[in-house]
Amino acid sequence: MQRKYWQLFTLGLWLGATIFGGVTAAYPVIRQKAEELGWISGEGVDGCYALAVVLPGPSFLNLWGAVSVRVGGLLGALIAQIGLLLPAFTLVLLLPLLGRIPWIAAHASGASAGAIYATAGLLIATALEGLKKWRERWVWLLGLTMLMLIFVGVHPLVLLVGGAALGAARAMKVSGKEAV
Amino acid sequence: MWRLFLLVLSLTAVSFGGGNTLLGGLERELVQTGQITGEQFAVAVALGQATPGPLAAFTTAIGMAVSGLGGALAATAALIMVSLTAVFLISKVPSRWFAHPGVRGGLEAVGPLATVIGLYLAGRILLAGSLDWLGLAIAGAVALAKWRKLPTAPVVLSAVLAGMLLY
Repeated sequence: MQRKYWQLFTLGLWLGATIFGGVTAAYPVIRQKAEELGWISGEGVDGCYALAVVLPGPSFLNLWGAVSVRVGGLLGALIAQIGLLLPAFTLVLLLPLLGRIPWIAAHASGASAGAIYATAGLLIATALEGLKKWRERWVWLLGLTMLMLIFVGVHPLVLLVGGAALGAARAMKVSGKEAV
Repeated sequence: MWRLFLLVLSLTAVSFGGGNTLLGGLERELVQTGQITGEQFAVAVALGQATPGPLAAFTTAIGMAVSGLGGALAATAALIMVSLTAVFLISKVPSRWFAHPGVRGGLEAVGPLATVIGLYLAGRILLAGSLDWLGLAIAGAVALAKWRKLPTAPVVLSAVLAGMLLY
């Protein structure tokens, strides 16, 4: 069992250090490795993926947790997730030290500005992808949410829970009509 | 630190539909209450995006911005705890529950909500800074690069470098 814990930790570490792009990029790699190591079948990983994207929390972490809990139980999943987050954690701690290099320190405000606009750009791109996907079916919800955020200042959490409840009620109503 | 742990824990526990929902809650609770500035928040998000591994590493960076190493540890521990609990509990739930129309409808509605929250956040981040044409050009170039599916880390690092050279 200890060997499995070690494998989960080192593979988590490797995934955390080499995968850029979140769960979409991680999924095929985890599937391949799980099959190679004889942990679970590819179909088993497919099931874990379906679960990971509907659970709360980061999907990449959920996918790796769902696979590792089947391999090493709860303790194995904990060890695997620590391994996965360790590289990013270390980088987050170390990257600010770059500010001690004189050239970087002299351009720190420019770096901040670049980072701020990069974040805005990333959010815009993700939102545009979502709008493209949902504009027809959910246009009423999109508009209502934006109005509530801008003009009423509703907490995003309240919107999330309220929107999910509305979506559930709507789906059940449609399903009830179809059943009749 | 304990408060940060509970905050990340509670927001992550309801963050269906990707990182934007978590980001929206964190921005509301940390920036709009004055615990960190909008600039610190946006830089932490960029830092998290530029690192490998789960995209939610921005939570660690935000924890670091709020209260140093302790904050980073608290935020990361909260992420792990939510994910572990969810994965463990769900293994005990019959899979047919996920096929229930109410559950599916609720989860489907979260995606569009996350989209709007992301767009709103982008607007707040842009308006919080000294908005100029150069900044808009950088944001536009990053959005275009991401839209064309270019890898995130080099795109973010290029934007940071552009900021350093042009500002």
